[in-house]
Amino acid sequence: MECKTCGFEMKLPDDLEKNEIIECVDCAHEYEVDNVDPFVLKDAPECEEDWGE
Amino acid sequence: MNIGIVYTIIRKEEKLIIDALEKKGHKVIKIDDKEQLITLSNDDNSEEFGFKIVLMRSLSLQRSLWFAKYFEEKGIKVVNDYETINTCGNKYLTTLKLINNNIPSPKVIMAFDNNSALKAMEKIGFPCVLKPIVGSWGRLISKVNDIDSAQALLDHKKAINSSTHNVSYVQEFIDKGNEDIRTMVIGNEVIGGIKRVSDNWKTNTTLGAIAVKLQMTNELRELSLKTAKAIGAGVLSIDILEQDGKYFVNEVNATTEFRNSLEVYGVDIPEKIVEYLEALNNEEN
Repeated sequence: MECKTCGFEMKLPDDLEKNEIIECVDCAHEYEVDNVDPFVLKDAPECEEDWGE
Repeated sequence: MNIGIVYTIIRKEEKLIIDALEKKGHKVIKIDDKEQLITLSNDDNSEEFGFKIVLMRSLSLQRSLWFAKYFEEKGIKVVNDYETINTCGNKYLTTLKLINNNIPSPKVIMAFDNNSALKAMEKIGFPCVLKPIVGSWGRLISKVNDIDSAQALLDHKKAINSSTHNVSYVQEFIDKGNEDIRTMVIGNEVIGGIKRVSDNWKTNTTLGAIAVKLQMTNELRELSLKTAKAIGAGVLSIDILEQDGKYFVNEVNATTEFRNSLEVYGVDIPEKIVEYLEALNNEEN
């Protein structure tokens, strides 16, 4: 799948699951798996005020 | 065993923990904290989740608390539990616990408006550290070098117009250099530690600090265990500052991250978490 930010051809693992975060190894753009079948990626969510450790 | 995991997104940590659980034959029930409803009604026929233990991996402090309380009310054991999450998520509560248990920690003065915050900073002395009482990953944490920058920061805090940011947590600056120590405690075991080294005074790995090997000492081990005992049992990471050979516990984290430091710890952290959950499950049965 092509990274929408940099055009790099991303090699995706076979075992991705819904809501999993993946990163383009070329430009570090982060995606979230929105659906597995059919496979859909969306931009990873922005950090919210109370997110953290 | 069946185990629930509350999550916001599945990062490397959650993926590794889920994989470790499934490899050992456990069934993982994933609960998306953005989609899961909490129904509160006398007519509620008590939703059955099919697990006795839930691992809290929500990124959101608020949702962690709501779900932890909900599951605890249903008799489900939550790791970490509501009280522990609440204490770790609020720097004021963390500091109270630390000082009440005679655990060395930087001096703090709380202030509730801008004028008193300036007085608090002058009393603590410059440089000092201004932190939001709730927040993580180093967000909005400022080293305040003098009264002029203090005034500017407080003006900016006021402009945020948030009840959380109207409170000032003013902390003594510990001259630790550009590094700190993080230890991890699971149950009653200190499973390891790392040093976090940065090119500036903030040492969050999310901000680019690098994890390097830590020489674990008995003193650090005892301090970590004492801290974990004071804060609450579970899976905790403890941030420790060192100045002139003296240790200060700075913060404690209830939803510990380890993806940038797994190799440096040299411990199979997901496996350790699974073992802890298995032991809890055995206690429940």
